[in-house]
Amino acid sequence: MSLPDIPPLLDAMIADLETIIDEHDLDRQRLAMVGIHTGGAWIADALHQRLALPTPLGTLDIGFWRDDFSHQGLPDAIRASHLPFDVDERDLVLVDDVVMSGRTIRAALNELFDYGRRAGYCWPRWFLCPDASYRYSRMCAARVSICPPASGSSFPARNRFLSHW
Amino acid sequence: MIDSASSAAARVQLTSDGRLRHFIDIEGLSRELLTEILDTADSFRGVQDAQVKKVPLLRGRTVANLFFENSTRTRATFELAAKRLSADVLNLDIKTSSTAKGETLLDTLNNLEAMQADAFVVRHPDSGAAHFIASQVTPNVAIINAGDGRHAHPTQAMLDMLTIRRHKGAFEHLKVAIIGDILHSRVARSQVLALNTLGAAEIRVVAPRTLLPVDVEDWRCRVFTQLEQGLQDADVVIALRLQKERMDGALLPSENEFYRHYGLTQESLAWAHPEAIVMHPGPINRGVEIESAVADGPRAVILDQVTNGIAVRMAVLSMAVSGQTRSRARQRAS
Repeated sequence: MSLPDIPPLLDAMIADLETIIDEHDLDRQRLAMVGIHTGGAWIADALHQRLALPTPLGTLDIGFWRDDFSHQGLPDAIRASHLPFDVDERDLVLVDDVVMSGRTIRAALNELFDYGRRAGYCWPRWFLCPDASYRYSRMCAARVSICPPASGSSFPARNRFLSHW
Repeated sequence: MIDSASSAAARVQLTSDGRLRHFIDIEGLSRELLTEILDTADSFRGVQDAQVKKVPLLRGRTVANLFFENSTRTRATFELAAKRLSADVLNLDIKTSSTAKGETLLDTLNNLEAMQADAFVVRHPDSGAAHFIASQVTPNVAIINAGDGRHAHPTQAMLDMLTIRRHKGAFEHLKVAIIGDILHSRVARSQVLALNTLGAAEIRVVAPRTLLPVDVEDWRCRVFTQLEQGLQDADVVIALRLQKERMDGALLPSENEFYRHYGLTQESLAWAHPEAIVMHPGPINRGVEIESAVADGPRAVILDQVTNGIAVRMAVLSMAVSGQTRSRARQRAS
């Protein structure tokens, strides 16, 4: 497996994030970044420094929210999640290193629901390709809002599911 | 003798790959496993920062609280711990249950097992009750010992260890003094075992001779009968409740006498390290083993112990149910 060249990948992720922030008119002062343990935490740290976001970096360990307890039991070495900010009405950038089945995303969203009501999410990720080589996929950079069921013919753009996954 | 008791305790409590499946006694558990319990409990403390203080780990599981002896905070914190793990909780009041109608303990437990309970939290006045249930009656249900006779109260000891670690960091340099009714205290025995396993520098028990167990010399701790000597430069001071309900002999002249010689007061606390923390497993007898000014003072971490109790009980419940789950998965696979 070839290892990725980190600085250009981080540059590409930053560029994507800047685009998403501009496209969706996100408030940088309230934008918060959350890294998912373990691999996502160090990538989030690097991105957080480069973006110079004023809100401190958060970390999330989704071990207690996984859906495979019945089969696997408790995962080893779960860390405490640490969100040093109020999540209410904030846009959050979630960062992880690998996407496979989407279970981590689901578990992370479930955990974040317990911290309060967010405005929406960005989700830049590293992507583990079928050939097991790492590359960053622009396709995975998406802003996802959790929207209420559509009751009318339209609803505000802010609440639309904007993923182009 | 100690080694064989220790390995017997380990055999009952651990799966073949060394994971927790029951939590009955500190004896037989390794430093690594105790540290894992503390680390997991620390992570559960983090959950309590969220608006929703609940995780879905034991969703769809059932935890039965079987209290054959009175308890307020232990029972409440076990119930809260199970609920915060999303388990369904069954509180069996033994006095009004079938056991009062003549059903044996075995039949009660077998019925609960047939109802697919996943864990039993057991408090019983007889030493060894939890061990008996785990080894002979319902080995496939996670048994958590919530106090058995004078034998053990391992979750209380672990919540005390968590409180010490969160306030003092590593155990290696700590002098810990445990004061009061050592004789009747299952808590003290479990605390000494846990502190030894976790590598505390010095463990002291301080009590009048009448309130020291006969085998205390085998506990791997220093024994003091004078409070001043026992408290000297201690980093952690644990006052125990005087268990009046278990006193079946003339062990003390009077409570006043006990307070005068062994009561933890502002005056006596001055013998300990200036930054010593004060702990008490509760319920507190104010003016008997501890002065109100100390119990409510800045060095007391007694209410912190209660909060840590929920986290520790969440940790052992989830770890033991997890161990049983893995064992069953392995049995199915083979």
